[in-house]
Amino acid sequence: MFKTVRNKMAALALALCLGTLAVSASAFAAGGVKLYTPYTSLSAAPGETLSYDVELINDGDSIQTADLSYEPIGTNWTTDLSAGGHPIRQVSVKPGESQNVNLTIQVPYEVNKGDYAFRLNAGTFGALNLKINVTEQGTYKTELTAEQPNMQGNSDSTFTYNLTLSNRTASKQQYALSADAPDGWTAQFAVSGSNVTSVDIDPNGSQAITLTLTPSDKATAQTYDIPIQASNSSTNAKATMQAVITGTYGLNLTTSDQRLSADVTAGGKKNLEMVVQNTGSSELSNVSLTSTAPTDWEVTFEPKTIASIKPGESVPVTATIQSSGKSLSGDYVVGMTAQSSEKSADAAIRVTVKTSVFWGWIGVVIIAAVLAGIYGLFRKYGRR
Amino acid sequence: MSGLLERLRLPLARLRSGDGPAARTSGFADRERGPGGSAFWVMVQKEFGDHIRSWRFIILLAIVTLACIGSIYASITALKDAQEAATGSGTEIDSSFLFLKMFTVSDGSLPNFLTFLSFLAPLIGIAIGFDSINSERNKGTLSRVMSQPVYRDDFLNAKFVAGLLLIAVVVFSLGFLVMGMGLLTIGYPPTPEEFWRVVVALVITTVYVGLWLNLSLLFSVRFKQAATSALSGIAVWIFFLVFYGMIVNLVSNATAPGDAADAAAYVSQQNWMMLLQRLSPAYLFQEAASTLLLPDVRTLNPFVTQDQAYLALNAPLSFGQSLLLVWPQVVAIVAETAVSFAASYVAFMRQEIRSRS
Repeated sequence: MFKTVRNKMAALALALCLGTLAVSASAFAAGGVKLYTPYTSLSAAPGETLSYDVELINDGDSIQTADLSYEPIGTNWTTDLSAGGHPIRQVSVKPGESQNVNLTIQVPYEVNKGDYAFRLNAGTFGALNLKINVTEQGTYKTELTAEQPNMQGNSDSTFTYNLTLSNRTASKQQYALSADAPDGWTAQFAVSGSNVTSVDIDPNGSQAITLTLTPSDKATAQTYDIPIQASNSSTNAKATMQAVITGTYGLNLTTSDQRLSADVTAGGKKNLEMVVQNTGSSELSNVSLTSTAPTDWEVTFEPKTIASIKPGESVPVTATIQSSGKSLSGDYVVGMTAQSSEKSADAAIRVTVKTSVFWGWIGVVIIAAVLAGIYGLFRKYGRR
Repeated sequence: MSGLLERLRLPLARLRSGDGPAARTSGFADRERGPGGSAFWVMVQKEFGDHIRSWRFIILLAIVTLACIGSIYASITALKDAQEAATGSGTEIDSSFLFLKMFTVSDGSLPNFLTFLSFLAPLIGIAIGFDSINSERNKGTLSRVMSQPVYRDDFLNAKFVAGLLLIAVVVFSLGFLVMGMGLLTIGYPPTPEEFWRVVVALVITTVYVGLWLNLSLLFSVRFKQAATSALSGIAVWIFFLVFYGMIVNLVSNATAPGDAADAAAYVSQQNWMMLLQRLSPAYLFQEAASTLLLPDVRTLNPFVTQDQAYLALNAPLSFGQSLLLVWPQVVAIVAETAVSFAASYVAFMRQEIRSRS
């Protein structure tokens, strides 16, 4: 017993002497009381959580009780001590046995690269010095990146950008997505095929987002910068997409005098001078002309197809409308379409069917014949 | 008729004495040229005046006018109801050809103006014509007129022209009465097209009533008794306006194709029935006048096929096209009127005229 006490005293003195030099994991405490963890210097990335199993060993012959305490590295660092699933402040260890305490340290996102020291005090068990090496410069922000931010196309094409939005903050974020497209353009964000206006991203997570840009019909040949943004009240990320418009497709179908109405006698023919015009800045090829006409009507075009139309040029086309003899008098719609591989144009012609005046004259002749007959009667019977 | 004889003598005397001062006193005679013309117009004027003053005509006119006022009331009520319903539901009332609608719509309490006109206007023609020849013959005035130096056919012609003038006056005054009352009540002025549509419809009405006048003239030439000719005229009138439609319906039911699915047979049968219907002058008139007053009517066929309706716009026809559409009907009415006049003319000219025959 005495020896033990003496040993204890000696150990205590030794501990006091070496106290300031203690860098080793197992701190010697009085009477074979030790504090132990295997990995004392760990590397971690910002946002990572380190977990230590700290063993308190009692080699002595009496129960040892110790208060646990630590000094946090910084305000952002989260530290937890637990045993058996509960937070713990004090540990008792039976003689000849050991107890495990779990220590978790979370590296904050916003942290500088470098070494950080941590010290766990366990009263009579001594103290444990831990070293954490933060391997990279931590950030506290959101990142928005595009695989290919520059795209080229025609004013009729759509531009699809694949974006990646990463949440490098400590908490789950909801981002509102917005694109500052020029007037007349439409921008649409989509996540896994569904159109979205906002996304939720877990901490340290990322989400693939598709942005589809549809240029306006009047987009001229130039480079457009479209700033996009993912933001909420606490964080935001910006990126700029580029859409390079090389030209526009424009096709116009009308009559030569711009009048979209015509008269036709039932069963008769009517020639309409149509004009197919390329109003865009790119060449149009394979322009074919088709029509939707009332039943039994025939619309023929001369020429039927146009191989190509240069920008700004127009090609005259003669449309011949052959109406059906059974048509009612009054108005019908004849739709005409000029269709190129790139663009199409419609023209709706209001065709007024007129009854043939021929039968009207027949009627006049009949009345004249009747009147002549009456005149004949006058001559025969009257004035005698 | 004594008055007529005196007036007949007047232009004739003027003719004999060159340009007598007696003729000057009559402003009417100034306008006349030639012997036949002046005597003819004197007879027309006398006939016209006699009709205007007759009780028969006044009573008839009163009935027709009342019927027309009733139909105007019905149409205006219908228009106002439609207006109220439209404002109630917040939609815009279709105001196209609103003016014409006064002639064709009705709230259901009374037939519309056109129906009334096609039904009652023939009565005016019959009433004017049924005793025009035979009563003169029975009273002996016919032979007295004929003893004057006038052409024999002028007598009949004068009867016809005076009757037609009277009918025109009545029809047009009724038509303009409706127009005026419509302007007053709905306050919606007619477009020129609407106005001409109404005028042409009124002209057709006049010719149609002229047809009935000629028929009754024919009867009055043919039958010695005024009562017989009046009855014959009314019989024809009732036949065409009441029974003819029923008979056509009976024929239609009897000849309906057994196979209801046979569209072609059904269409051709209906076309035949339509042809049968059009033998009736009343039906022709209804078609002609209603098409003119309803610009939306695009065809008079009983069927519009899918082929014809495909891509057709629901737009009204222009006035010319509407007229062209009913031109066959118009021609038929005019021709029937002319033919019935010719018949009465021949019948009259072949008859002997004896005093107190």
